[in-house]
Amino acid sequence: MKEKEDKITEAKKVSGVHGCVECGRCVAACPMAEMYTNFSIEMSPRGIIKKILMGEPAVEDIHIWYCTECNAGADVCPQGVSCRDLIRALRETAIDEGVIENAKTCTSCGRVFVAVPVENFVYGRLQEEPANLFNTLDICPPCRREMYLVRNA
Amino acid sequence: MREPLTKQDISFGLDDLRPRVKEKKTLRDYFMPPRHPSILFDPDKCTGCGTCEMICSTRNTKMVAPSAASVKVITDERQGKNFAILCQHCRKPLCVEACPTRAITKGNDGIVRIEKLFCTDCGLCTLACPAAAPIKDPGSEEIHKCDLCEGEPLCVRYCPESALTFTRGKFFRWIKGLRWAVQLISFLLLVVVFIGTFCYFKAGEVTLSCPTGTLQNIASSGTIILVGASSALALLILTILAGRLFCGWVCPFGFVLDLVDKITPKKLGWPAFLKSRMTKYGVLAGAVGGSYALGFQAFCTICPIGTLCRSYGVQSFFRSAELAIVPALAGLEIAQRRSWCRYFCPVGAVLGLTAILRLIKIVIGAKKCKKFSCIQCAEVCPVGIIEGDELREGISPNIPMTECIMCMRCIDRCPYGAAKIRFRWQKVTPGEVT
Amino acid sequence: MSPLKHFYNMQLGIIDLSLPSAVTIPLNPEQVLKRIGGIAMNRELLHEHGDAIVFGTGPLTGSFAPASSLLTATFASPIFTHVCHVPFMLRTGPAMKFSGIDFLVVKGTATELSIIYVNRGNVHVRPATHLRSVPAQDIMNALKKEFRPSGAALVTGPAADHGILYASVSVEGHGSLDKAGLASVMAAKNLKGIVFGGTGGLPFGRDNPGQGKELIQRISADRNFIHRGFAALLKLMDGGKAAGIIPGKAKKKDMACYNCPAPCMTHVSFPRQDFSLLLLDHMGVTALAKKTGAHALPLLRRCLQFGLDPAGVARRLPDGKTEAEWLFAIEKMLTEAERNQIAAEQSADVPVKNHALFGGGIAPIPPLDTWHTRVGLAMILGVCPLFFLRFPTISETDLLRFISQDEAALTKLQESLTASIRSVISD
Repeated sequence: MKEKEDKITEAKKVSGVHGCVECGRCVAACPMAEMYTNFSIEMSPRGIIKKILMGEPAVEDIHIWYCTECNAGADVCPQGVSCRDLIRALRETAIDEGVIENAKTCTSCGRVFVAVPVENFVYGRLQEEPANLFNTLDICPPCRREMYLVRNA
Repeated sequence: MREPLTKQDISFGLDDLRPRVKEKKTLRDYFMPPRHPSILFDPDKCTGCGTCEMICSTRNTKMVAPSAASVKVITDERQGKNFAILCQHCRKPLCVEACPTRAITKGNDGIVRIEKLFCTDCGLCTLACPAAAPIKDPGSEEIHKCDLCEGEPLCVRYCPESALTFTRGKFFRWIKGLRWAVQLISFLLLVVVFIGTFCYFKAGEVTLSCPTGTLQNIASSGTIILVGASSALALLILTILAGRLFCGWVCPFGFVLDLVDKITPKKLGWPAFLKSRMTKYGVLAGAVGGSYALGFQAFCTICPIGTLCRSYGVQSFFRSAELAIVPALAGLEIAQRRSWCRYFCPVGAVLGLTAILRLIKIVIGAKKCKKFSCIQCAEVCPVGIIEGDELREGISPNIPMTECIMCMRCIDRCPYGAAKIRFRWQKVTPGEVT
Repeated sequence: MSPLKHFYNMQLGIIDLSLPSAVTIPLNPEQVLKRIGGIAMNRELLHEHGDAIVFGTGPLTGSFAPASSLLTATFASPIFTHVCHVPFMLRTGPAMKFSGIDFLVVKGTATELSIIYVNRGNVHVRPATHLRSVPAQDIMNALKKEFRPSGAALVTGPAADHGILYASVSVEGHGSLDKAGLASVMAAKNLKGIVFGGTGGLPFGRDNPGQGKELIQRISADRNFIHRGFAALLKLMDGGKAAGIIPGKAKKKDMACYNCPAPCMTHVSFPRQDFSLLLLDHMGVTALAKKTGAHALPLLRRCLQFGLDPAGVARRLPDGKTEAEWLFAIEKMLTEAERNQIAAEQSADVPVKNHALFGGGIAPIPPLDTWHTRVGLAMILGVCPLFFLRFPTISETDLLRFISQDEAALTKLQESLTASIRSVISD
């Protein structure tokens, strides 16, 4: 338990969340608004930062798994807060704590490479394409490239 | 009048700003499909030097930084093989579908580009791509994807081994014209000129026969009429040499089917349980067995090919009613292209069995095939034996020659020269990858 | 502004393993201009810091100059008992440069087995006790996620951990041209290896990438360009006696180092026997082939697994045994901690002193009268010495033109270069 607290404190330091002024620019730049019909403040960068600053539990929360880690929020933040770094650290803490149901692991190398809601979005967008594509979607990009080499070289 | 909105259209707010452009097929596209540019890679020539990465990165970042290139060179240490992964500029790009901000578009020049203004570097394009071609630079965490350097790719120019080539592809296009001409001439000859020749049914008037008819005749009457049998034999020899060329180029019913196919572009589809290629062997067995049992050529009476050949100048009412077979069976075309040929035709069955002894084969060479980024061969194949699914997995499929009707539409359409005819004993590098 | 500005990060990494401390400090631009870089600069840094290993790149490392893959290591060799300069190719040089530093000084001795990690301009020392006595390939698998795909790694094998004198540093498990005992020096410092992250870049002469292509055009008709691969290089050595070492039925693929248009390495594999090797150590393979004939390749694989120099092993193998006996003998070498003695084999063609100065691993390719100068120049400028030897029509001025086209700058660089090569060779 103590370790988790330390990790969260470290995450807050690294991402600089204390500088947040709740201007909302990160939400405006965030692509999540285009991806999820249920986009809410709880999964928005501003919401997650607020939650952490209020000291509410976030590591077990599913809402930290919607982010694509694109860093658009950090690019526009006037205070230099990096929501991406915060969410990345929270996700790593979650995995360390064993909360892994929202993290997708590569069937080839076993590494966590994407969040489940994000991948479901990609499935949804490609749903009119034939089903076998979903095999490649279960494999992380580096392994996918190696698989392509083996099949074609 | 606006088309009704689909689920894809209702997208959260982007429609006003950047409406999704629906691809429209023009008449020109129908006759001459667009030739899209692409880079072909020859893994046998690649030495893994990484010069392509160096050069590409200078365009992306104004520095030599191989990790920020749009091309990635990977090596399989165990087998000693190198590969350069780069964007294939697919005909139907998946990254375009996956991008949440619609930053990726396929231009009219065929190049798939990421508009950096809208790109958030989220990496969903990499997740969607079967080859993971958009590359995330681990340093700056930006996504770089090949844009063919707007028509003059640098990697192609600087590769010291010339392992990369830039191509727009080339279509044959003459095979199609030749085939339609031959089909038309065969139709005229077999149906109009040589009346009633192609079928062993009315002995005395008939000079030519198909192998199925010969078999039925032998089964029903126990005798072999030499002229008929020799014409059947000629057809079998043609099949041994050139596969089921008869089906694709000569058969008059096939010609009718192709014409029906042209006017019924939207297919309804077969129920799955009817989709067995083995059914036609069953029909063949039934035809021969029936002939033996009934004492006359059972199938020849209802054979659409024979009916067509005997149809010119038909007089009696019975004969006219018999003619209904042709449009009835041709109507199967609405379900699936050449479904008669795939599932039911006993002539095709005999020729298919003979094709086991074939001398030539059609292969899709893995080196030149663009696989998931192209898939045109699978789309044009009338008998559906080219597995689009395999192509999408990045595998060049094996073509079963007992099913192939040698229409050569795949060879005609393949822009990269991957689909070709080879002798059956020739290996196609890299060893007919499956 | 120094013409070398775009060719270096201008950063020096200094690691003291005893403390441990790891810092990066800026390089002195005048010092760099005076010595150009590579082994000349390494030598200066060695004199400054004393008992150390100095790793360094040249100005052309990572640039558009052909075969610009070089990383050099300068240290006091326990085998040759003088300062040696050893080259490493593949991707090591560019990996170090793009990781943010140009030179690295490693001093002191660590208390536990450690590994150095260089990434994004920072150097770190990390514990590596779990890698002790692990075969080279397994070390690479363990480190892969740290440096794939853009970086590179230098590792020592179990032989170094066991204190074998003729242990050899291996580039990513494929061996190297180190026959001067760098591995035992690293082992004495309790250093398992160095990993470079390799993400990052430098401008170099980006306005004229076509320069390399022109040079390649010039040498493309050369016999040495057309005949490529490992066997082609063997033919140039020693009358070509060892050229038949690769069996005909092996699957062969020529592999090239960073930006090299004329590959001199070959990957051989026997798929049915699940055997594959990247051949890059010409002198080592020749020595093994002389002693063991057709069995050299399986024995080479064992040497690479253990991190042993194949030439050193060949000298110590008894004559006329079976392959199984030889394999067993190599395994025994790992456990017998002998620290003597059999002097390193010298090439008869190149004067002993010069060959040993450059680690004893660079193939003696003709023209032999200028061998030492050309090798030295290449290792100062940061291009592969083997490439520079194979194509004598390329002059040092051709290479300096990749740095600058300005005549005044070229003259200054040429002067510094001449002084530097003289200082290196006079040792």
